[in-house]
Amino acid sequence: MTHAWLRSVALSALMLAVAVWPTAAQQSTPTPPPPTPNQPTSDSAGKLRGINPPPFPMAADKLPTPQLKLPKGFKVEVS
Amino acid sequence: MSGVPNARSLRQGEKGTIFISNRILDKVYAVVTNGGERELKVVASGLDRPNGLAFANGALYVAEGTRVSKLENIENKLGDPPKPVVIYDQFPNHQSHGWKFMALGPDSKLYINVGAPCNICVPPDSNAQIRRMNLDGSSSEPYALGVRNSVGFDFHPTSKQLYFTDNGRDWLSEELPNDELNRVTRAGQHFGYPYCHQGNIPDDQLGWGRQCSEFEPPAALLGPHSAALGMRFYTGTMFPAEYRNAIFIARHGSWNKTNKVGGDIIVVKLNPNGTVKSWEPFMTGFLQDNNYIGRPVDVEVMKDGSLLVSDDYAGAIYRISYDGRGLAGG
Repeated sequence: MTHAWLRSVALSALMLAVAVWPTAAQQSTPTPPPPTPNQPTSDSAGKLRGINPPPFPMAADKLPTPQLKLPKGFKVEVS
Repeated sequence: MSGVPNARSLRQGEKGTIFISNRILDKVYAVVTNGGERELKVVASGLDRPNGLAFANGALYVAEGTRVSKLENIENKLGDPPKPVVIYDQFPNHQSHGWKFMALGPDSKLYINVGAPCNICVPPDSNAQIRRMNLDGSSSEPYALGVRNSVGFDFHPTSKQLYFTDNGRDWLSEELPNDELNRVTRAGQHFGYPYCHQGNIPDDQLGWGRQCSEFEPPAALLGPHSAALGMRFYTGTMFPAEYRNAIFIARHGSWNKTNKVGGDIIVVKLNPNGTVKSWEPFMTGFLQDNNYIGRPVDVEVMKDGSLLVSDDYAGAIYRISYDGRGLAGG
C-alpha cells in the first residue's frame, strides 16, 4: 500500500515535470523579435534584432541615474 | 519619477501637469500630487499606440495610430478624467512607423507625423510626411514631405520655423545613412525619402533617376541609426545663456548596428540665421559596454527651466536642473 502510494506519487510528479518543463523552458528564453523587412541575410546582420524593454519599469533603486553624466553644474534626479 | 511603464512623449499642461504617453501600451498618464507624494494617474486607456501628445486651450490632445482625440479641461478633471473625444480618424492604419508624434504649432494647428509604412518603399500619398490640422480636426493637409519617420519636432521660439528629427532607413549599411535634423522654411518642402538619404546618398534601389539636389538637405546629421526622437527648443532661464534657444534631442539609440550609438541627450546650437552651428552630447551614460541601461525618448522644458527626460527602457522620468556650482564664475 505504502509502496504503491509512493510509486503513484512519484509517477504523478514525473508526469507533471514532463508536462511543465517545455513551458518553463519557453518562458525562461524569450523569443527574439523576427527579422525586419529588407534585413540582409549575412550572419552579422542576422544577429541584429529590435531591443525589447524589460517587462516592468525598473525599481527606483535600480534606475541608471548614478551612471548618467552631465556637464558641470547640472544634476539629474528622479523625484 | 520611477514606475512609469513605457514612458514615451512628455507634455506639460497650462497649469503645470505633466502628461506621459505610451507607444507599446495603451495609456496616457498624468503626474499628480497626493498628500505631498507624486503619483501616476491614468487619464486615458484602451488606446491604440497613443504616442503623440499636445496641449491647447485646456485640452490634452492624443494622437493614436489612426486618430486624434482630446480630453477637454483635463487639468481640472484629473480625479475623474473625461472620455477622449475623437476629432480625426483618417490616418492610414499600419504597424510599421504607425505611431505618431504631435505638437501644437504657432498657428494653433496640430502638427502630426504620418510615417512610412515600411523600411524603404515608395509610400502612398498619405504617408511619409508631417501633416497639420485645425484643433477640431478639420483642414488636414500635408506640411512637410519626404519624411520617413519623425518622432520629434518643435518650433523655433523666434523664427517659428519647424525643426524635426527623422529616422533614416535601415539595412543600407551599419554606418549609413545618418538620422537627420531638418528645418522647414516653407510648407510643402520635400526632404528626400525614399529617394535620397541624409542629403547626399541616393537610395540604392529607388534613387535611380533622381538627384539629391531635388530635395531639402538636412540641417544636421545625427548619427547612423541613432534613433533621434523627441526634441525641444530650450526656452527656460535656469540653464546658462548658451543653451537659450538651443535644441535638446533624445537619441533613443541604435539597434541594427553592431557597435551601438546614441542612447543620450544631445544639444544642438544654432547660428543666428537658424542653421546648425554645432552639436554635442549633453547627457550620456545610458549606453554601457554596448548595452543599454536606459533609452531616452523625449524631453520637455518645464516652467521652472528644468528639463525632463523620458526613458521607455527603465520606465522613468528624469529631471535635469542647473545650480551653477562647480563652474568658474558660475
